[in-house]
Amino acid sequence: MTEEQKKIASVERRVNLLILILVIAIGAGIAAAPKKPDVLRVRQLSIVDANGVERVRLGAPLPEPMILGKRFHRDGFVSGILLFDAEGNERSGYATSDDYPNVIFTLDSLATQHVLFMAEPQGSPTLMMWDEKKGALRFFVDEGQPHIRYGRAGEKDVDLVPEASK
Amino acid sequence: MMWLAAGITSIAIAGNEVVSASLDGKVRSKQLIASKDYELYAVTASANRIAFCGNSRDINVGERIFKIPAGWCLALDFSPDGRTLAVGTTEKQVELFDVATGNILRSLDTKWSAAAVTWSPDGKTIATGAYGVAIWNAPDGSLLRNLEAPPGAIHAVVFSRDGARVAAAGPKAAHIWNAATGELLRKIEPEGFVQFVGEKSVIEPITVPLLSLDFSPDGKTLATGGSDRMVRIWDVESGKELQRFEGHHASITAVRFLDAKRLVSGSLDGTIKFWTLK
Repeated sequence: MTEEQKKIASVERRVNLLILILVIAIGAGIAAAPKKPDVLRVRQLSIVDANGVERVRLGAPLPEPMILGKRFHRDGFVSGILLFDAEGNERSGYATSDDYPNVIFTLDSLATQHVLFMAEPQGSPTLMMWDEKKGALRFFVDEGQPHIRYGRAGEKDVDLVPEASK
Repeated sequence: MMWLAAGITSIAIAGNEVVSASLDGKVRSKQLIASKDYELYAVTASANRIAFCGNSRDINVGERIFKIPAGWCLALDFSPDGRTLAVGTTEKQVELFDVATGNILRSLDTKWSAAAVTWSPDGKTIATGAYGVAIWNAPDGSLLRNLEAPPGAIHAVVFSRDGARVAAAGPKAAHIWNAATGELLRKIEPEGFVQFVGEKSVIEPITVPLLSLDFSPDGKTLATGGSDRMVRIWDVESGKELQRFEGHHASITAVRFLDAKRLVSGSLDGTIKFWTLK
């Protein structure tokens, strides 16, 4: 073997050794790489539209409500999901409360809440709707009896089902 | 392109400048005046200083910072002599700050978040907007009267320049009262909502909350703005709509007369617009 051939053979051995080390390193790296998470664990997730306005919030807890350009206090902490309109106003929520174990679903106008669908911890479900004049229609079930009740602010409630005795 | 995240929440007139506060934490006139890392809801100006505030306990007064005890700030206004600053808070209080010392002089118990506050031109009374409108005696902080109106969140209150009348913007209507007696003089209920279909505007016949209002310098007309996205000019005496301006693409949070013929409006669409009356 000539001197030149010896040098080539030496370089070949080194290159092969480097390739072997590289393969081992990559293999070890792949083996050690963390698995893709199946669950994303965050406290809040915010989805904004093309104008930068927040339209959906998943959170625990959820933020204070934005109403017509100002943020107001919410009564107690709630966790769940909120929907906002194109101006950022809170218009709907699906949430549980930290203070009392109700689960609620709400639909709001720009001024106030108009629909509340709620299940209490012991099981009593209620659906309430308010009109612009603050009249309230309430559907609920109690001890096997369905109820529909209508009331106006400052007036006595009227039972529609079962009909009030005359 | 609109940038609603930088929506204008309040405007003030400082000398010849229009100053705005916005949800992106910026206070601007022709240039940037201040930048905060929280939403701003209110700005006001006296002869020689600007104050602004928002979703923070900090009340920024010139270069100084006053602190409200809890919650955050929704509205503020300097007294006519500039010595006292009234701050409406989420803690159902209006705090009256001594501007010289930064100390709280008195607290007004508004029973609900105080989203609007304004001084009478003579500095003797303060009008507050919470879940109704109230008039307070400024020197001792006593409640003078609650003004008659349907219950609901009040977004703005303003006195006429002569102090004779006070007006408030609410969930469905604006109301105007005699400031001295509390007598209800006029109810103004704008019906209509500007819906934009591309560049074309269509007016839908619905009533939505009013957010801002201002009397003209002579007190004979009232400008209103709100979620209807229209600036409207009303005759105070008859309650008739005299003129309307369309152009904003989101709720109008602030209107101010600059003089008898010109007014400025700010909107959650992030723009400030100037209008000239007929």
